[in-house]
Amino acid sequence: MKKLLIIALSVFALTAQADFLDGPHNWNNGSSDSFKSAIKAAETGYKANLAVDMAWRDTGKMIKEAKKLHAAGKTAAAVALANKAHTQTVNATAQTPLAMSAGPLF
Amino acid sequence: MKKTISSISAVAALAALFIMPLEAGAKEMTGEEVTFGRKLGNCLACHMIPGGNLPGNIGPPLLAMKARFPDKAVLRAQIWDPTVLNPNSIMPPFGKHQALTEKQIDQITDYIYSK
Amino acid sequence: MKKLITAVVSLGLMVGATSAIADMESDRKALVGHFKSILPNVEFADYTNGVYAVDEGSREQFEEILDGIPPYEDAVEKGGAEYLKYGLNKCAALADPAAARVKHPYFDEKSQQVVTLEGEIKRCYNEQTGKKLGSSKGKIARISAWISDQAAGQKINVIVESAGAKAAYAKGKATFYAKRGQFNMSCADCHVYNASKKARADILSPALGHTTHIPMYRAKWSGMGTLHRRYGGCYKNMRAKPLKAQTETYRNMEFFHQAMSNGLEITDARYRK
Repeated sequence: MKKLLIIALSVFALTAQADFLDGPHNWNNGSSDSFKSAIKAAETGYKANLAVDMAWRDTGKMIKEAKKLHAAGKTAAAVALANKAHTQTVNATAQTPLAMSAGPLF
Repeated sequence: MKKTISSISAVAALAALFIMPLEAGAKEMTGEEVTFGRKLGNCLACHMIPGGNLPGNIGPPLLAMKARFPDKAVLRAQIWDPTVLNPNSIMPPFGKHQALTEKQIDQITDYIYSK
Repeated sequence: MKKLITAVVSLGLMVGATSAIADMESDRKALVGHFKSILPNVEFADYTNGVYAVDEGSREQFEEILDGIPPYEDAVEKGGAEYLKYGLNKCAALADPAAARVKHPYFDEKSQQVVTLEGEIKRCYNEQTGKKLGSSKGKIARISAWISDQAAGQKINVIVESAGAKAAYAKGKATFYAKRGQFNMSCADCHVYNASKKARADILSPALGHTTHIPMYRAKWSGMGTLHRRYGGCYKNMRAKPLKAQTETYRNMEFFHQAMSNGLEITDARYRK
């Protein structure tokens, strides 16, 4: 278990570094930043939806897929998908107050 | 001779079977396919539509749509988000919730409007 | 600070939920009245048979299956053997299986939580064997089905009395009536307002009587599953993220859901499409 944690942490650390190192190479590519903000918005919204049991079925998968696309260098597609995931969380958030007070119509 | 012809036609038929789905995959989806597709509009889940098999009966039959919706844009808006007119509607807000693309909604609107 | 938050939140709950709290018995009567108005020819007691009470064609198929060897028979029998094998009879809460089925779900004042039959089976199984038991299918569904079989013919009788119980009930009720997921649909949209209608060729079952035959055997699963497994399936169909079986939200919903079937007979005819 401990070993697994160490491996996971080092992979995480390396990825973070790689990300950081990646920055200068992409200095003429502003869309990496737009991915970061898009994915952050999606993740924040999703987390809030999960906390009130109102998350949508595919949001988590979309976030994962967007990260994969980003890692593969397909930034435009990654941003588009992250935005779509974010829109899902906005709509799920809009459902939440209604859900808390829902009752029969008769 | 007859045998050759029949075996040729059998081969042709087999080949057609293989080619057809390929073609269907490559071809753009028709309005009917988007309307009936279970993972797309799946309108038949709830609505009777002329030409569709095994319809549900949760929603009204989709008939005489031109008479019911003189303004086609109103029909499209109803598919895009039925909760505007009725917040309790069981019908999914296909556009607002991005269950379908704008183009797919156009296709469904056109198809339904022809009924 | 924490106290303040709790106070504010509970005040909010009280204000927000006054209409929802009402009381369980008047909710139940209103639901029965609703079904009377949409399905005037169905007798109340027949809701025990679920969807088969509202559709003659599928009822005939159902009766044929019951006349033969129902596909769940072996599984339920196995559940009975497992109940003894794992020493579940040694837990006070499960020692009398028929009584256990009728008692659950109930609101436990000590933990301020709804306790379900499957929750109790899981707890006892862990106590007896030191191992964890799943919540959705397999062993737990078999054991729970066997326990429920022992109460066949008795009536569902969920009690909602204390303030804590009423609050849990109100939350469960809201979950049941809440629209969720990409499809923006509630449990009630299908199983209350549109019960007996068809989605494609599937007949929507009435919520009244949903809990008389759980855990059930579903042809779609080709196996047994618990009520919470079915909740998960429904959530997915609405394109909402399913919750884990036996989480508080599902337990509260079960509390409400079972209470709505109060007065209906528990049945061992657990076959569903």
